[in-house]
Amino acid sequence: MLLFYHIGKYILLLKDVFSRVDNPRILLRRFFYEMNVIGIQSLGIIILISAFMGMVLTIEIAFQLVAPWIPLTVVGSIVSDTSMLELSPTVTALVLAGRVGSNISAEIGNMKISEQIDALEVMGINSASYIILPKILASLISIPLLIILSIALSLLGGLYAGHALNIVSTSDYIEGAQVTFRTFTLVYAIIKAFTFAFIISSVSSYQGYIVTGGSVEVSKASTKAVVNSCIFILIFDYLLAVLLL
Amino acid sequence: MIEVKNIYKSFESSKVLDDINVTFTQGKINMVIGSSGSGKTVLLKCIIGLLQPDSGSVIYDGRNFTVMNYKDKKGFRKEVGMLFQGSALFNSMTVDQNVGFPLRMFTTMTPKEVKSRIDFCLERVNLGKVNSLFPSELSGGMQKRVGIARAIVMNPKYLFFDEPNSGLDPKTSRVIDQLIKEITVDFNTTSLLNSHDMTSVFDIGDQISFIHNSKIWWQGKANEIVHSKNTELLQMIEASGHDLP
Repeated sequence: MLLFYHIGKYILLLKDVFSRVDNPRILLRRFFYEMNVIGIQSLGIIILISAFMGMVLTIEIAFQLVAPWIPLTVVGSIVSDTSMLELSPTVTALVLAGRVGSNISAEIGNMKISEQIDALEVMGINSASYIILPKILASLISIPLLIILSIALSLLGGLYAGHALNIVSTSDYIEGAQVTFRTFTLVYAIIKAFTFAFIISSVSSYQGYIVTGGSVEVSKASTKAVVNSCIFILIFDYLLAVLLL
Repeated sequence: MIEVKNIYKSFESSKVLDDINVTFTQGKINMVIGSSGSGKTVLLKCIIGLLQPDSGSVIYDGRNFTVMNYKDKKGFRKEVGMLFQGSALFNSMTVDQNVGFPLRMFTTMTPKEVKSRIDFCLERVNLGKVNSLFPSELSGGMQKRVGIARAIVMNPKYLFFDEPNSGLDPKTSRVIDQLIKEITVDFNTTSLLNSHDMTSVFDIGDQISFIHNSKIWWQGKANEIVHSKNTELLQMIEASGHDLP
C-alpha cells in the first residue's frame, strides 16, 4: 500500500512540476545554473571512471579470449558494444545517482525543513515547478551528454590499454569497433540515458520534497534518493533491454 | 481585515483547531498567543493557505480565500508578506537577491527600479551595506530583518509573522518588535503575529487571541489581559515571569 501511496504522490508532484511555470526567464537562468551543477561538475568523475572502465574491459576481454583462432579485432568489438549497450549508460547513471541524486535530495530537503519551500508558496510561486523543473531539464540535457562522453572515453581507454600493454594493436582495435558498430546500439544507449536522467532527477527531487522533520530526515532522504534511483535504473535497464533489443 | 470563520483542522485522529472564529483588524498588530503545540502555527498556515482547513473559511476584506481557484489565489498572494520562524531566506541567494526575488519574479520593474526598491526596504529595516552578503554570513537578528524586508518589498496589505523572536536574545527581540510595530503603522497592514513571548504581547500587541486546547480561549486588548479571569491565560503570563496585579 505504501508503494502505491508514494507512486501516487510522485505522479501528483510531477503534474505540479510540468504545469504552471511561473517565469520562463528565471526558469532559463536556473536551468543554466543546474547544468553547471549536474553536468559540468560531474565531468571529472565521469572522465575518470569511463577511461578506467575501458582500460580494464580491454584487459579482461583479452584475458578471456586466449584461443589463437579468435581474431584480436574481437576485443575492439566487445569493448565498443559493451560500453554502448550497458557499461557506459548504466555505470554512469549509477555513479550520477550517487553524486547528483544525493545532492538534489539534500538541497530540496533542506529547503523544505527551513521553510524556504513554504516561503515560495506564500509568494504565490509554484515551488515544485520552480525548484524541480530546471533540475529535470538540466539532467535530461547533461546526463545523456555525459553518457556519450563516457562511451567515447571508454573506447579511448580501451584503445590506450590495448596499445600500451601490447594486447591488441590500434588498427585491430579500431577495425573491431567499426565492423560491429550499429547505429541502433548508440540510439539504444541514448534512450537509456534519457530514461536514467529522468529517473535520477525526478526520484531524488521527490525524496527531497516529501521530507518532514529535521536534518536527520534530510540525510535519510538523501540515502533513499540514491538507493531508489539505483533500483529504478536497474529495473528500467532490464525493461528497456527486453523491449528494445 | 481578516475574518476566520468556523475553522476546523485535524491531523489523523488529533484535533488541532476546533471551531476557530476570530477577526484580525487593519493597521493593528493582531497577536495569536498560546503555549508550544497549541495550534498557533497550524492556524496561521490555514489562514495563509499553506494548509487546507477541514472546514470553515478565511475571508480577506470580503474575499473568501478558501474557495478561490489557483489563479485567484496566486494573484492574491502578491498582497501577502510573511516572516517565517527561521526567516526562510534562500541560502543560495545574496540578501539583494532574496529581497528582490518577488519583484524579479512577478513585476516588470527595470533593474534600476528593483535596486531602488530593495535599498528602500533594507533601509526601512535598518540594514545597510549587506546587499552582497549571503544569509549564512548574517546574525539571527539581521536574518529576521532581511526576512521582514522581503515580506514588505511587494507593498503587502497583509503581513504575517510566525514567532518572529524565536532564537533571538531579549534586546534584539525588542528591536524586531518595534520594527514590526512601525511597519504595521507605516504600511497600514493587517498584521498577524504568532508568539508565546509575553513581553512582545505587552509591548506591541493590539488585539490578542489566546489559543488553548484547540480553541480560542480568550480575546481582548493587550491591556485587558491582566484583568482577565481566564486561569490558563494567567498561568501562561505567570510562567513567563510577568507580574500579575
